[in-house]
Amino acid sequence: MSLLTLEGIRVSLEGRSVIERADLAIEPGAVVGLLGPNGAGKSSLLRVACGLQRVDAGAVRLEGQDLSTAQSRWKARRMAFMPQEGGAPPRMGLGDLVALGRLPWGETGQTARQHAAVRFALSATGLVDLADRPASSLSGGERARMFLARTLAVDARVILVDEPVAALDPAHALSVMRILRDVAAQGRAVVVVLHDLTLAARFCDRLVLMTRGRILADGRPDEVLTDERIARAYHVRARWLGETPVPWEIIAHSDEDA
Amino acid sequence: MTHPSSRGLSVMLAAVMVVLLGFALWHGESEISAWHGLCDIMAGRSSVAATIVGQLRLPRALLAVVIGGVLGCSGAALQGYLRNPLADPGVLGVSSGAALGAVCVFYTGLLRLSVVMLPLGGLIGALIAVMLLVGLVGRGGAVVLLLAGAALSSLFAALTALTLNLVQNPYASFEIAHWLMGSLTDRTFQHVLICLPGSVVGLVLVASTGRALDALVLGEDVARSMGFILHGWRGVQTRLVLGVALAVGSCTAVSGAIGFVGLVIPHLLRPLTGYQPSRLLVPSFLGGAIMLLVADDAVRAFNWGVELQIGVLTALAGAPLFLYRVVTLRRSTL
Amino acid sequence: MVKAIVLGAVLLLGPGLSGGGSALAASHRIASLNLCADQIIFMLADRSDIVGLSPLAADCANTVLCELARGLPSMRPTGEAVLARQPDVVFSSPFTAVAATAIARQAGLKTVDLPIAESLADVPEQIRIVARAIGREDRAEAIIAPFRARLAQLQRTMPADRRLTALVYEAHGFVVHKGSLADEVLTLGGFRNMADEQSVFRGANGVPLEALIANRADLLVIDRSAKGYSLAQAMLENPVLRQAYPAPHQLDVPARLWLCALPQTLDAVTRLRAAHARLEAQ
Repeated sequence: MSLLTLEGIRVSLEGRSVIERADLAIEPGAVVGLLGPNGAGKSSLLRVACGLQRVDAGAVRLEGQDLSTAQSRWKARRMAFMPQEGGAPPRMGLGDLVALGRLPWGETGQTARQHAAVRFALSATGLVDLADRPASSLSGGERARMFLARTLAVDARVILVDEPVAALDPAHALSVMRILRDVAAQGRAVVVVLHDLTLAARFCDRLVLMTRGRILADGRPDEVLTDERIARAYHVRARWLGETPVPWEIIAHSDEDA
Repeated sequence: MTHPSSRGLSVMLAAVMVVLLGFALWHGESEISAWHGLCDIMAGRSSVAATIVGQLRLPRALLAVVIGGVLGCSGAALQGYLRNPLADPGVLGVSSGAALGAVCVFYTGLLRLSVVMLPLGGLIGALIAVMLLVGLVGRGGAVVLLLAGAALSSLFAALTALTLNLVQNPYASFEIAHWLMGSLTDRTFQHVLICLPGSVVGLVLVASTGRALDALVLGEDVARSMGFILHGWRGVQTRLVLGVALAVGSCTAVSGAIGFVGLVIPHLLRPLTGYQPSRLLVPSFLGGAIMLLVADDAVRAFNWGVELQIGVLTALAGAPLFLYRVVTLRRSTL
Repeated sequence: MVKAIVLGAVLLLGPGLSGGGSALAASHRIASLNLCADQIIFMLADRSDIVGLSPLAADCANTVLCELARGLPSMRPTGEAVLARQPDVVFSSPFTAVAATAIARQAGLKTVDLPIAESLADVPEQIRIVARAIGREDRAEAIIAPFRARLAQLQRTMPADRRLTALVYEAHGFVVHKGSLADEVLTLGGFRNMADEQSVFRGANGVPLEALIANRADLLVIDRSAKGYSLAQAMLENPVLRQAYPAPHQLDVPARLWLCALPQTLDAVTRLRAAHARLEAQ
């Protein structure tokens, strides 16, 4: 039995179909990259997995239990969600903000367990020294790691992350991806939405390529990222640097998969 | 939530509040000996001093604590929920409903039956407003809430103006205008009894949303992913709106509209609580209580022939504080 | 305020010192939250028996005999202020300081509600209510008798010519109608109240200026004595109004004369009689 399964998911928003049909099974101990062009339904699928998005059809199961009937707190302790960053940063202290990740556990006071979880999240993201800084004074890279630390502080088995590196410089992007790898190595399942094919090819154990609300390919990076599939999904031609593809030029729109 | 510095802040504010509460019993409009009054109360003797301290100053001071506390705490909770530091308990339109209820008591002459009819009318107006608000908002989100509050508040304000317009007796319109400015003068334990149940139930409901307010700092999606149910009948929004509306409505029914406390107090205390909404609730309660105790003492100390209304005083004190914040904010963004 | 405290202290000793006087039943601690009662108290009570008057008592725009109020303790219309004076009797009114009155009553104080007088015939009763409450019935009759005599004399000398009309125009554009004290004063002054003769004046919410100019009365009685300045009063100063009602057609009667039903209200009748005579002479 898989840790998290999505079966026959269909979603429409305001009458427009966003996910036509998607089936997915997520196992612990791996980083799964969710790829696809804008509007392919990646973020929607992630929100469905987290129980944030109503589905027209299909079911999500966490540890075999149907999410729609699961208790919200039970679910919240097993699955952590990190949305795309946006808006003004909160003015709380970094340490306090990361500690918010313990809210699903209803822990009051500085219990040893809360302390340990927050401490772990801060050290995993390299933020121990910044714990007393106000969140609004951090750089973009530090802020991205802070939100990741908040997500890790939940101590969940499934971690769902939406475009964590979109606004980061290469060094910070690498460090975030490395943190996600380390987290997966502890036996957790990580699902991450990515746009960067190079990072995806390098850090993910498995890639799911979506286009137009459907899953186009699902497998090892070298199986999924072929010239033909990259062209079909993104309408670009890639060049290869060793084992990783680099988008090189736009090719004409084709409606072959319509 | 516990945080060493915010707990220290609460203890300090509570101490100041207790001192001011004692001062409110000690000092009033008349030169009676509060000490003799207290002794007479303890001994069970009835005397003028005992009546003034026990039946007039005590309920008045308690109301200052409850009403100031409710306004401060509700302002903090609403500002946290709407993630807008300019939200004020008045945005829900419930205090306008309470004002309309009270004004109707003036208008219909029910006041002649008993003085208590006034706060009772206000309470009924507030409860009707709460039901309308919760019914209107239903499962809608924060934007629907703000729109519904604005709609109700302008509707009630228009009806209040209409009633004022129709009042024939110039004495009555004068009294209404005065009542609308807010006052704690001549309130008794009957008023405390009218104000207390809604305030307590409301504050309990507001307090139950503290953790959700913290989670909402990270946005609605994250709050929901952390297991908080935001919308729907048992959701955070319903509990918060019902709580704030009940508490503020009960208070407005007794005191009339007292502005700026709910806006200014959370604003001033927020930096001292590390910007975490749940930690702001208790200090805002205490801060609001302190502000109203001070304002009521000032009302009784000034003797300008006309009685100064407490709502006017809080607005007079609150507006410059706000202007100061605007100036500092402008400087920091330049 | 200091004066009031000193006076209060003196008054505390008062009953003991002046005990054994003629009026044993008299109240020695009188407080009032009612402007009309204030003025009757001036006439009936010993000054030293007054422990608190309503704040408007010393305001000459609203009170006759206001100079008598100087030096007397004024009192905030609040429950605590009333209780602290420890009065034997508190005069209240049905409309103002309702909460303070309720508190005084709950505290077991004797409260006396002085109803609003709507006719000159109420004047003796108003005086008697206050007199009974403070135990000064003897003094009441000494004021009522001359009032009765003067009223009878004014009624005997009513002008025979009833053709002249008048209007009483107050702030907010209110006009005075039948059934009020001012209407009675107007009639006794020799005028017909035009407000009840023409439908434009029947509205309950004040009369527009235009109506006053289109339907001119022989005399416009204006009450402009109130303190301060408001939009409502500004209406009374409108130049158009002054033009439409030149000197002999306009008369000022200060509010203090007919705000409460008092013996002095007859002074308003005398003023109206004089205006009547001036108009007839034209």
